[in-house]
Amino acid sequence: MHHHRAIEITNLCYIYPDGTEALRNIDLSIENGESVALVGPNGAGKSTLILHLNGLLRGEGEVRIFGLPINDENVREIRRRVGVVFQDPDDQLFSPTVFDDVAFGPLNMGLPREEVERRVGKALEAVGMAGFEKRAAFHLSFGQKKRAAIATVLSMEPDVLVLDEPWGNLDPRGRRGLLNVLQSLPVTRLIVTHDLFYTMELCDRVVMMDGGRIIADAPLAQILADEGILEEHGLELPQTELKIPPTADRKVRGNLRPLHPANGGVKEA
Amino acid sequence: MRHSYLDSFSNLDSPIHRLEARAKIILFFALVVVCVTTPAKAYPAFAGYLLVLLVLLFLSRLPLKHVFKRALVVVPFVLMVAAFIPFLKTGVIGGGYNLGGMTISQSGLLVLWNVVVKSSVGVLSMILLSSTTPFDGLLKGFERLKVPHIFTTIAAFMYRYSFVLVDEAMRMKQARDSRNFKGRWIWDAKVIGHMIGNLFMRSYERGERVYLAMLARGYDGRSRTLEGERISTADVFFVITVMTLVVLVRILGSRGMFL
Ligand SMILES: Nc1ncnc2c1ncn2[C@@H]1O[C@H](COP(=O)(O)OP(=O)(O)O)[C@@H](O)[C@H]1O
Ligand SMILES: [Mg+2]
Repeated sequence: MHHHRAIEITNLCYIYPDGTEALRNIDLSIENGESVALVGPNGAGKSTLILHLNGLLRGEGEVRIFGLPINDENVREIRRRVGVVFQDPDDQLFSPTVFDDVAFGPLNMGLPREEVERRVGKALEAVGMAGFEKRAAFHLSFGQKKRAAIATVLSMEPDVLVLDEPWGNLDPRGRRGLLNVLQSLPVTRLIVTHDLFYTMELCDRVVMMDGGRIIADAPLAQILADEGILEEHGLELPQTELKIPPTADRKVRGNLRPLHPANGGVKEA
Repeated sequence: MRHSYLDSFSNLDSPIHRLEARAKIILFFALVVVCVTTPAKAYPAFAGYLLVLLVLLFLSRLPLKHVFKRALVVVPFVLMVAAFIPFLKTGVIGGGYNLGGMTISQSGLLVLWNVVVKSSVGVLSMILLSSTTPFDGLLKGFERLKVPHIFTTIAAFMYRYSFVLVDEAMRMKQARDSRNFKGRWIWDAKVIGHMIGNLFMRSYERGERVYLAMLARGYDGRSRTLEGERISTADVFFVITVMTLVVLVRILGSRGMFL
């Protein structure tokens, strides 16, 4: 089998039934093993893009996961390989107990009992929630819910982990715990976030969206060095600058890789 | 926010807690059916049922205060019945009311006794069942007793999201009250109407998002569960013993053999 990218999106457009143009000509490819942050203001289209990665929405254009185009035939395999963790853990934890939630995916895959149990144990271990099997979701703290939600996807042993706003509503300790969990997982990651501070430790590449388009796709250091583009699209520079490599040029706006030569790639203010 | 959970105290350990969920469901439902079908005049039988329940309660080590508080749920219903029944015409159960004369008929009193004692046994049984079995265990028990999946799933979702909904309602109420809302009649009904509509929309959207989360993990409309633990011989033995006892109580009690 020859080389396939983990995610390959070409010219994807999506219009919601009410006429909202949520995605316009998205081109994005992510290699296996990469860690990518997807940033942008509210309403940029980030969540809509995520829903296309496992076929929950199907727009115009092409989405391939490890070379497989998304169609009715492949969709089961694709949903196993791309694990999506949604923003609100209360949406993801719908079963009576944590065990049932984490077992939901493996059971739908038709795995035998021993294998389901092994995977549930392993997934909960990976997020530091071993021993919580019998607990009900509403007995968990918010940070625990977030981690349990990740376990519900890990138990399907996905190759790509997609997280929508994982830091939202978490206190600093919860964020730190989640960060450690995410760092320990050997998967390709796409993380939707507003928070560049935590992104710095996790991702080396930043894709920025606004108005349904990708407006920048560059190494993290370059994006951080360009205060103008951050401000323009409603993002803040992380409070501490210690982590910014001293070599980063503060005026690299011109170096950002243009994605759509047609519209000039990065917009100039 | 603090919720009062349906299955509080279900994590204690006692012989009753350790019984398999199916065994407990069968036991308590059978007990209720036997009790409800007992003629109201078989007074000793009811004493027998209550005695059996008290022994089970004692074995379960549930705090009496909790059981008592839960049992108060029936009181309003009993009072409602109590308010009307004594005025029933003699010999006509469920017949016309004699509001003018205020006569308290004997058959009315019998109906009242019937309602009070049977609802007490029913409520006590259900409290024992729900306080000694975690909610998910109950659901799985019903599932394995071949209750259609659609019912157990609806019950599971209702239970799971009622807490989320109550939290949302509380937050909305706080937001409203912190803007000095005072419930003053008609024009405030509009505010409350908006709140209910808002809650409905939120639940609807939540439902859609939960469904997406299910699809994302390979859901295709069929539900699959793991095989549960087996019913042990001890469970079967316990249920049979108690049920034999209850049936004996009923037969002997109806014949007045205890008197
Ligand atoms: N179900 C929907 N129906 C119609 N429009 C929607 C729906 N979901 C999102 N949108 C719109 O699509 C755009 C992109 O939304 P979204 O992908 O949620 O952005 P983000 O996640 O970046 O905040 C926004 O303008 C939003 O209002
Ligand atoms: Mg979003």
